[in-house]
Amino acid sequence: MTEERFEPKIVAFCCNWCSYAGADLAGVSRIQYPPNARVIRVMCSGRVEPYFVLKALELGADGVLVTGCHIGDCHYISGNVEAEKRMASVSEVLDRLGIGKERMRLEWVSASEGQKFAATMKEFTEQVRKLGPNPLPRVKKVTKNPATLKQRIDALIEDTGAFDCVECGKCTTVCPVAKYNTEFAPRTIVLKATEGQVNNLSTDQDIWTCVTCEQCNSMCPYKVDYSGFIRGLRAEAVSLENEPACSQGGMMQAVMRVMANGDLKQDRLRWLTPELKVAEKGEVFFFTGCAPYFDAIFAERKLGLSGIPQAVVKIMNKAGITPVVSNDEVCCGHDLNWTGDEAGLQKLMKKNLEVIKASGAKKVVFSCPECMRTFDMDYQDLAGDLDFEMVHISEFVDDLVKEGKLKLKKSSRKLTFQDSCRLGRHLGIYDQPRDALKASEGTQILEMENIRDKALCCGVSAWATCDETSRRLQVERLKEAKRTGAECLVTGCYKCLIHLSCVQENKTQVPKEQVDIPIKDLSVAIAEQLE
Amino acid sequence: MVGGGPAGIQAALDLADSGFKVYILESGLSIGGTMAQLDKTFPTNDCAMCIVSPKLVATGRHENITLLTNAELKKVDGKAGDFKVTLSRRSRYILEDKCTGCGVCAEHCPIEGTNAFDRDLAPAKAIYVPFPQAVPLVYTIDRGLCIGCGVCEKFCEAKAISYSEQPDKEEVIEVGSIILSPGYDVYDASKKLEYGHGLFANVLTNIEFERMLSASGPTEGHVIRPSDGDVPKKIAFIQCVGSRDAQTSNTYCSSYCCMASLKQAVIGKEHVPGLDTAIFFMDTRAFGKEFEEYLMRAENEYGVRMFRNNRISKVQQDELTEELMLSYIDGADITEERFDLVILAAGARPPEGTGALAKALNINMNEFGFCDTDELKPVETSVPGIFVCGTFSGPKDIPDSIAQASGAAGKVAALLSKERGTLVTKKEYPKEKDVVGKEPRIGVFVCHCGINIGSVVNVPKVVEYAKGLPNVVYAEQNLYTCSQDTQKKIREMIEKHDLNRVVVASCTPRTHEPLFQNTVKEAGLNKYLFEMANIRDQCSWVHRREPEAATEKAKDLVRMAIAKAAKLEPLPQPKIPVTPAALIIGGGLSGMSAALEIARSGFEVHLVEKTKHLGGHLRRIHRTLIGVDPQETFRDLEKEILGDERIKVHLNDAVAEVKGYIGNFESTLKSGEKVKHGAIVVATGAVEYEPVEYLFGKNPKVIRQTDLGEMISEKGFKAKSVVIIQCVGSRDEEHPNCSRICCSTAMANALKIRKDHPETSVYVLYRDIRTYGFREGNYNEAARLGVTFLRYDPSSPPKVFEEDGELVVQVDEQFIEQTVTIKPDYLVLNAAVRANPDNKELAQLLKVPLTKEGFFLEAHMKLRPVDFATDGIFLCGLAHSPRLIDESISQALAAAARVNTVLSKPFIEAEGVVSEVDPDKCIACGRCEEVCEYGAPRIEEVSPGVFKSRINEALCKGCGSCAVECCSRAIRPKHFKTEQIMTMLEALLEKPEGDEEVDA
Repeated sequence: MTEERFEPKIVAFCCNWCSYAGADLAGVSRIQYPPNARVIRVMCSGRVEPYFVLKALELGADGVLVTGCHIGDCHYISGNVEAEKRMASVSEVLDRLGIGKERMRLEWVSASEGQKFAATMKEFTEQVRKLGPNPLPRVKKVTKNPATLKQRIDALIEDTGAFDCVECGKCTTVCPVAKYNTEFAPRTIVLKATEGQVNNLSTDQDIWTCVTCEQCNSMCPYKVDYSGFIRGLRAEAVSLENEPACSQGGMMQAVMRVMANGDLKQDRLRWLTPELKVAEKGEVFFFTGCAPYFDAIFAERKLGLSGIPQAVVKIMNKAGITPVVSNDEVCCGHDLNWTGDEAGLQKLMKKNLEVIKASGAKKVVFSCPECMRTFDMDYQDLAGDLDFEMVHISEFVDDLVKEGKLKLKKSSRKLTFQDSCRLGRHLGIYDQPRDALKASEGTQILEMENIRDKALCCGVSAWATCDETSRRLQVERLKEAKRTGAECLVTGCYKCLIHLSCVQENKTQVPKEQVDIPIKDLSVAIAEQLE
Repeated sequence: MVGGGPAGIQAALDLADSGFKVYILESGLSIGGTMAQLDKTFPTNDCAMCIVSPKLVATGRHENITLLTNAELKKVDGKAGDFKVTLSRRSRYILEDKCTGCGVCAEHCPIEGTNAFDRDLAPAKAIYVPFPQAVPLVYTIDRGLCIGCGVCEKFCEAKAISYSEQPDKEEVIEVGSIILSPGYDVYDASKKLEYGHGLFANVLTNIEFERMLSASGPTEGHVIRPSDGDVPKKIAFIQCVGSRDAQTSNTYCSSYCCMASLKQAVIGKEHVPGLDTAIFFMDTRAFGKEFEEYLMRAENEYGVRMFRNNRISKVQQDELTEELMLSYIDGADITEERFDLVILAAGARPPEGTGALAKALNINMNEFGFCDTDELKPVETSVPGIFVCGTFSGPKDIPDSIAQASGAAGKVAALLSKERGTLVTKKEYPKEKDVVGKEPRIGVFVCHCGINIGSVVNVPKVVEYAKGLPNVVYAEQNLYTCSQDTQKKIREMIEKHDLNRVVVASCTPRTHEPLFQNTVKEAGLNKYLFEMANIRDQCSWVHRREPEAATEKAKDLVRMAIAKAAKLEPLPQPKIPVTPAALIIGGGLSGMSAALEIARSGFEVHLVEKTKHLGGHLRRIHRTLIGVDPQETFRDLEKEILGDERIKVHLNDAVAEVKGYIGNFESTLKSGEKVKHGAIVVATGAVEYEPVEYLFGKNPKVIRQTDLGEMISEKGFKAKSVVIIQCVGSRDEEHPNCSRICCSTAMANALKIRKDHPETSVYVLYRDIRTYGFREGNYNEAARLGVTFLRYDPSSPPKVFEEDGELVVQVDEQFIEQTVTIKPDYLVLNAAVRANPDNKELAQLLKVPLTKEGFFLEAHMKLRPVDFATDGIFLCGLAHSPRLIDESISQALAAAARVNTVLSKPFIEAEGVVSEVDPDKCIACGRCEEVCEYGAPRIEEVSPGVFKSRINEALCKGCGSCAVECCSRAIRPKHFKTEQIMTMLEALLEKPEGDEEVDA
């Protein structure tokens, strides 16, 4: 029996001016090359979104080629310079995911380089052939039966207690989104659903406008789980093709889906510098979260997120603890969960629980409150009680300090603290971060106007809700922080850090001095004070 | 237009875009000229074909331009405004309107000859196109080579072969004006026997080497020795072959060869790692914008060995190895060195046949056979109504040719302005059908392209497959989808089946999309409801040995195109009204020239000048090399401007604010006056450097060139000796740009002194003498009249000091290797031309870029020298870079012509493929504004306190980069939206039976 040779399927994005012309010239010159590629013409290589590359691979392409004009020759002057930056970021992401950057290639081909185009096709086809078929499995999209939609909504209303809503409107009064977006009101969403109006779920945009900060939950006298209700509606909406407009075109969710569906060996521990001590097995497991991926996707913004897990390990090492850090850890699933992808959440949960079990850990420490919330609340909802303790780094440090196992230097810092939604309202952790910071004697916490369970959300949740209202929330928050007179705003959540920094990096219509307070992560702020 | 090279094309496009009908009479088989033969262009090292082929396509398609290729001008009767041109067209023996350029004939032709395009370095069939991107893409039979076997006729499915055509046909056309742009020929280097071209295999000319470097040339870009095919290790370039040469009477300088050799040395090194290159110069004439920097990089970064002041007398060959030996001066010694390859910088000659042309037109030629022009009228010939541009008026590089071409176009537009729009074809289209909200009904047309596609791809199978795809209501196959009768069929099918989207699977959209878009428009569909699948150039032609795989690929590509077509939307092309007025910033020579030209074309002009006089530097210049009186010119210009009621002069004023965009600018001047205009010309000039060296400002005898010029114009000039130092403040690390004018100015001043005051000695202390073009003659004259030229090296510049109350100048002369001491009465510093410091502020106001040295940066250094990337804003004169009077005037005329292409239309039609912002999603973060090179997205206050980005569709080019930058994905690039691209990916990769599973 002859073995069939693997024929890679390659998608090639070609810019209309140089590289498409180069491809045509190869044709005119009758230069033969393998028939594996399918060209998608774009006007400029700068049009190619990182998401296109990920999606092509997710859909089953074995390799993705992006071609454009040589640097300096771009028909639109610098579109290819942008393409180069973006594809560099994609390469990083592919490497870290374990797909490997060799499945994507960026090549400059000029209009007179017919030979080069053909040679590139040949080489890349062979390269991908050697790599073998796309390691990601073909995933069947699971949709819910539209016929039983109403029953599921009714069950959701029951489960979340939405049935108890008396339309008092307290939720809407405290909702930060409703404050700026007069068309949005938590109350009316619950109302619509309880009145049986679920037909518009396929087009409803309101369910995506909510930032799931749980201000409403915390205020509701009848303990309606509003955020849970929204989450449930989102899962139904996605099934009806009502997709959210996620930031970066959906890149983050695509990366998380790959972690969920694929069985790949990641390369996510490059942030581990030699002096940091970690182990494969142990009592304490440090769940790092998606920092390595965010750093690669947002490479241009130089957020330095990898400094956060580094700080955590440093703290633990100083306290004599060698935590387990695993390369097989995958995304906790928070962002997929909150954008309606329940199946994705379940797959990720399964993998993570296996990894933690294999390590033998009895305690899992999180630096990201979203990860912790997902484990503590969502995983336990689905899988029942977990047999390990879950703590946030602030709690961990607080305990260590109180037990005398960790000492911090004195300082005279004046800080203010952002109670992130997940850490605060969702998990109820308010004092420990402050205590952990104050463990460095002399540190002053100058509080903002709205703190603790009244803290202002950073405006974006699960990458799905960044709009004008988010911007206004973020500006408000930074103004509050600046007004405290603190020298630094400390955040206990990766997302707060990313979203608030984004305001400072881009144009806002407020004077820079009102919002330019330096932002730092909690773990980093603590680690700085280690003796 | 006589001649369809880059200059001819530029002038034709400018005129056709301004409402005039243009005939391009081209002696070759394709437009493109010498530029089409180049691999790369200096100083950007851009691929020549990449930048010129879009212009070729635009010219070929323009409804107001008619190409008359393979033609010769026979005679001209009549006068300006009313010429009768008799031309003869040689036959191609191909029916031009039937040939589709498919190339099957050439594939089967058994005869091989050589190809003039490839300088006879590569074979070509007896039936051929000169190069793959030729316009028009029509084949030609070389009757000299053809043996009449009839094979081509047999294979031509379009029935385009016609052996029995008349060899020559005469035609008469009536035109109002003629522009001569026949280009140049390369000097036949074999005439210089001492260099061995034609005798030694490894001696080539620049242009032959250029073909070798080209990826689509005879060696596919491989640099090899013609003698044995080996890769050379050492290449020598010999400059000034057939130029600056009394022996051949070609005593002028060919202007571009120094840069061409530098470029080839740099590119050669990129092709062959470790290649050693040596260039033997007389002077290094790198006088253009950023050329000196290129030279410095070539020498310092790339390691190109430069031998200055080294004219090679002969080349000898080692008979055994076929290596070449040159002798040259190296310090004090004469060295001999061996090279594998020698490239001769053969100069430019007037093109063949132009002697006869000149006779036929009765125009004056100069002593070298180039078209003669007046320094102050650089684009006019001696016959009114006949203009000239490009190298035919003197060797020059591409940007200068392009500027002249636009300038000539401007002159023609002014001449014929009353008849504007009377001869152009205005196409009428039926009203567009409304397809919004309707289900897509897609028609698919799959082409055989004779046998090009059909012999590899199973076209009937693809048609059957297409019929079964979603939204397809009709599918058929065609022999040639691009033929006239198929266009008719497509229109009929659109009507019959109520199609609202059309997909054509055939060749490349790059050449054929506009044709089919036109067809669907004629059938009442918006032209953007059309999509193409490339199943020839990117399928059947490149997978000939795998017909099944090619057929599968064709099916995939058709499926993808159909998926996209279903998501296509009709796109509007909004009409933007134009204010028929121009704002000119700067009232010097360039500003004034542009103002007059624009006014003569019938438009209003606002001329803004910051000082209280017009004239700029022109006020202080008293002579030029050619002998005209700049002061008289200035007075005439000023008189005409002040007397023209269309021109409003704002003296003592400047621009404070500029709002708006092309066609619709509104500017506020510092005086408070508001001006509405459709275009802007930046003509802010430059400043003369104030030296800090050589005791300038400390000793009253140390003056600058402009001072000298004024001094010697007055009576009473007396001096025993004058020393002129060149390159003061130019060509150094911080200011590498050559100031271009100083060598010519030095000659002008030196000649005046020697003629009027023969008792005064003149010494010129120089690094290189850059009297390029025909100004070389003045250099020779100055030497004959006894001007002493002393060469210094920048590593040991002249020393200037005072001794006993006298001024002393000491220079280490390079030729005699001695220090020469002079005690002159005047020391003249030829100070640099530096960028106007005001440019910075203006650049910010207009949002246009500057170069490192502070001059304005144009849209493209080669092909768009007077345009900014932002539409509607143009520049000319010293604001661009240092240049001589005739060059400034050329640029000013060019800027005026470009302004005319904007103002001559009642409205501008914006492109349909532009990006738009969804204000609901926009958070006004400003990233789109930052990344766009054209200033299209702007953050605006749309209501009190609410800011959103808005994309100006007049400025947007549709590249889509801002859309990726926008995190919220609020920006949608029309025709290339994410969902349109995603649907192609999904159509390609998702399984047809569906990927879905329903969960109870």
